Amino acid sequence: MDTFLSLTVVGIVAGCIYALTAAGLVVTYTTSGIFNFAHGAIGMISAFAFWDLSQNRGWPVPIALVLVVFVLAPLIGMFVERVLIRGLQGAALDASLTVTVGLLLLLIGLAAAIWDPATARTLPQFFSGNSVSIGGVVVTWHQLTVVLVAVAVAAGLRLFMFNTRPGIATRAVVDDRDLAALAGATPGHFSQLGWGLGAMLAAVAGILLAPLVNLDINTLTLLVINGYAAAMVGRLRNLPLTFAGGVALGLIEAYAVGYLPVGNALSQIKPIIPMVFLVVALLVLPQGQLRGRMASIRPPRVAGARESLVMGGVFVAVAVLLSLVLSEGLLATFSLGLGFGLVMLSLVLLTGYGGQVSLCQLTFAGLGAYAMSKYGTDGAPIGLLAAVGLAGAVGALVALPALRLRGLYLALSTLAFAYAMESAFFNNDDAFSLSLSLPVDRLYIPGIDLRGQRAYFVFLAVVFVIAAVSVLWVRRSGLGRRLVAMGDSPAASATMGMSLTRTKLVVFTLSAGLAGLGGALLGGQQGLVGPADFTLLASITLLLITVTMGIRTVTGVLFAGIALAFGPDIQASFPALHDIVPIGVGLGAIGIARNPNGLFGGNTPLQWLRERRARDADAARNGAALPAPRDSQEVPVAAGQ
Amino acid sequence: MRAISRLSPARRTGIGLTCVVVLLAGCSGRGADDGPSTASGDPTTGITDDEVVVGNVSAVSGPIPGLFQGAPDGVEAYFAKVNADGGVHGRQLRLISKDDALNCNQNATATRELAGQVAAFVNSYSVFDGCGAEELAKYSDLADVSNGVDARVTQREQNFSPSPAPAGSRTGGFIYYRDTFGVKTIGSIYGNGAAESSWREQIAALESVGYELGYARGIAASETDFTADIIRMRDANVDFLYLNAVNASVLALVLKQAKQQDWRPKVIASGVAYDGEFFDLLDDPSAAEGLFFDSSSAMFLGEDRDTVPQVGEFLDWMEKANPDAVPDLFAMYGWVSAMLFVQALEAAGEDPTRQDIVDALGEIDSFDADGMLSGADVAAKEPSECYLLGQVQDGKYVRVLPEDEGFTCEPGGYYFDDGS
Repeated sequence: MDTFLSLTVVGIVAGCIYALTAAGLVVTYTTSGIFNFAHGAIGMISAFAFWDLSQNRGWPVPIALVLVVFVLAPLIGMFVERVLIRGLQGAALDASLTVTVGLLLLLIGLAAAIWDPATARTLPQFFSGNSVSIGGVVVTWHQLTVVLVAVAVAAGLRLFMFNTRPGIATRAVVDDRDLAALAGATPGHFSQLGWGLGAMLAAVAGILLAPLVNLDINTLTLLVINGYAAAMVGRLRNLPLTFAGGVALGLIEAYAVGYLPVGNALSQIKPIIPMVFLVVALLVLPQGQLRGRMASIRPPRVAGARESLVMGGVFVAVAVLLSLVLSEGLLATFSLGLGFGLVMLSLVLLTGYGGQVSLCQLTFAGLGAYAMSKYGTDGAPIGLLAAVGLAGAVGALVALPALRLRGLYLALSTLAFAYAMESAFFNNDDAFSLSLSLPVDRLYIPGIDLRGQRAYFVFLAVVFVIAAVSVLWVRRSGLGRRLVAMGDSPAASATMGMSLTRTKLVVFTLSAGLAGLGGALLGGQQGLVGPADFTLLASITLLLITVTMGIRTVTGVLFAGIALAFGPDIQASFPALHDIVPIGVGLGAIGIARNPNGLFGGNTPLQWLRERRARDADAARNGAALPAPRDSQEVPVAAGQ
Repeated sequence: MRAISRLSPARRTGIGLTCVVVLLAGCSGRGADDGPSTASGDPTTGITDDEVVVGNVSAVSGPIPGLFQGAPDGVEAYFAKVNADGGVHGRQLRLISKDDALNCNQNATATRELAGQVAAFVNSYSVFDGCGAEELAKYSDLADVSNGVDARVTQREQNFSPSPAPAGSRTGGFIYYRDTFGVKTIGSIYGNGAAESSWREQIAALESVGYELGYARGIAASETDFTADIIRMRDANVDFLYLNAVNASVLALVLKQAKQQDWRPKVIASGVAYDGEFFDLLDDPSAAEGLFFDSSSAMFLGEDRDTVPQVGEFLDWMEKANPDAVPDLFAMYGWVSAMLFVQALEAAGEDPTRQDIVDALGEIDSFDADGMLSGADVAAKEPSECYLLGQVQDGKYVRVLPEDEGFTCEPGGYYFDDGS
């Protein structure tokens, strides 16, 4: 009984930490309709700023606290809302997600540039040295402060949102921005207020949590992930329920560590509990109506069969030429880019066309590499089939529970899957080898030797072309039209008799299979794969770069793959740019707020010129201006949330 | 054929181009870059009349910035010292270090690039060194002086570690704790992932000398709260807290939380505690009071400066070569690896080839880096059975065994893990 009481106290304290990190997320979402993936990063920056002022510069703690919590953090939040978020009103989920993840990278890069990550720092607890014993557990006054603040935030914000005029107006703006404006509210003002408040809560959480962990950029930034599960219990709107969710999660973790048997797989379950909790919360609790609206973006033109084949042939010919002139090192990096490109093509199907955001594509790629390693010894083609089959089958399994989810809920369920697989599979030496790396042989094709880098590069170029042409063919087929319809408006598609369930299942399976193929071939390029290749963060980065370059076009994907492959190369070649790379990627991603189709997502200059010339010629022939071509019309696209 | 003839000209062109390219690929695939070669072609690659060029591929940037920055820094420091003394046989030593940014492909690319221009690799350190192993395997005359992480590196015939550590663990420290403090029940927290395999070997070694595992849990890198683990270890009467397979941050958190809960097992031991920045992770150094660590190297942070002159040389030259460099464990290994390489280079004669360096390394059956290491048979890849024990006392690292200087040896004191 003593142990139970002790574990209960431990669980409640941990749960309040989760609740506190989740509170700011809920406030931001409630007031803007945007799920802020950079919430933890704002808390991290605030904690570092507080350390800098109070420890490094020796300012009095109360002054540093007030300055960071009530001035710096709200300013960051309001600035972010004004510059980035306001332009995202009604944008597709992949765009809003990319912008906030880009902001996260930007803040991480800035923090690393200001405060050397290799230097150890600690932040002392408030009321250091004071503690009380509760149920056999020593709880410091600092931890009690966390509990009290979490309770106060949950109760206070609930009152603010539902019992005060600004709170009600803020919620009204999110529910219907135009209607609220007609009623006299100023939407921008209230949205800014919400982001300022959210950033302030992030700062409070960061400053209170930093003394309990180490003052580390990644730790503080990612601590908020466990808060996602708590936030989801409150359906991203209900703060008291969010608090209850946080405490429930903390208790489950404490009891799991306290009571599960030692020495088997169950004893290692703690890291995946928050993700299981998140998925259960997503699936079991009633589906609240997520916010979002129709967006107006111009989808890029889809190449015809003839054009795609010709361009594919040209691409392969160029690849052959490059293979003859480039060094092996460069070819290896380009090959890696093509491998990433294959995985990214799977996102074109799923996210670019179907509007289903996945944060676990590299998990499928990892399964492909695993299957190739296990069954493709000496390059046996059966390994490649196994890679596609295993990834596709798991994709279908993931899709099954996700069928009733959409938008952000679906994205978060894939996030949970990626995180759980990272902990339970890729970092498990029963699945991977003892050194947690698996050798992956290159495919063996009789008569063609792919062991050389030049040959493998050309082979990957051919496979990429085949996959790209196939994806474009799917886009032009009935399935492609169904995918686009589902992405545009699931409700309208269902009303017209379309089976969303079947379409989702098919696209998830196809997409995962393609990612598995990419993973197997990537593994063949590297010769060795390990858990670091398939982390959640890597999947998020992959999505971010794909969206930034253009997730709806093959060209965008190609450039995204190459950019991802050359990232470490640039970082290693120019150490001085080390901190600038994430800042640059972050800024690029943030640019999505201005160009939702991505850098290479629109028509190419050649296409634009050709169409312009055709229009001019037609106009001259007909003596009158023709209507704009179909692909330049404003097409409503669902926010996907 | 009829099906093909029905295709549009553009499609036929595309398919035709693809077929041609696949054939071309097959031809080019059988080109010069294929198959393992046995030598570099030029036996004196990396060796000129004036200098010897050495390579290093380490994880410096990437997700964990500065992870193995010490690895090239330590080599640079030793080379600076040797060059200041006139070099080796009149040749200056030059290090080309490349950063793999903790990326598999980058490691392979960097290794490939350097393999064609250096005389040997010295003290490469990366979690992804296995990715470069395939490139190294193409050369039978290319020495690699390093404590490889991946078995593909360490098992290579041309790999020579200054401190070989085959699967298993030294047992001397474990026996000392058992006999001195009467401890028996182990509690342990270890990092899931790459650290887990070495942790298992250490636990097997502990069990081989009579310990029992009372509590253990694998943790994810993101975990920060271990209070529930501490409660459970307290209830399981754990008297020996063993934390060798975690990083310094996790170690500091566990120690802080154990102190908060007023739980103090008879022995706490962790090799990762001996680090110049460890105390910076603890706002209260007393949380680490009494913690033991065992090591097969001298106390290179400065405690052994008086008794082991190499420690003083190491610290002085680290400062001279690069005032910003941190003299950590990887820098120390850089220093001793460079020492081992220079010893072989001197023995290889006035006009050495890469193969001569490999052969010279294969002749070194005893190496202790002038007291920096406890001594091992480098050629036979035999581990050392000697060690020293240190302890944290009043916020400082203090020698416990042997009390004054040197190492204590335990014949047969290495448990070899055969994986069974």
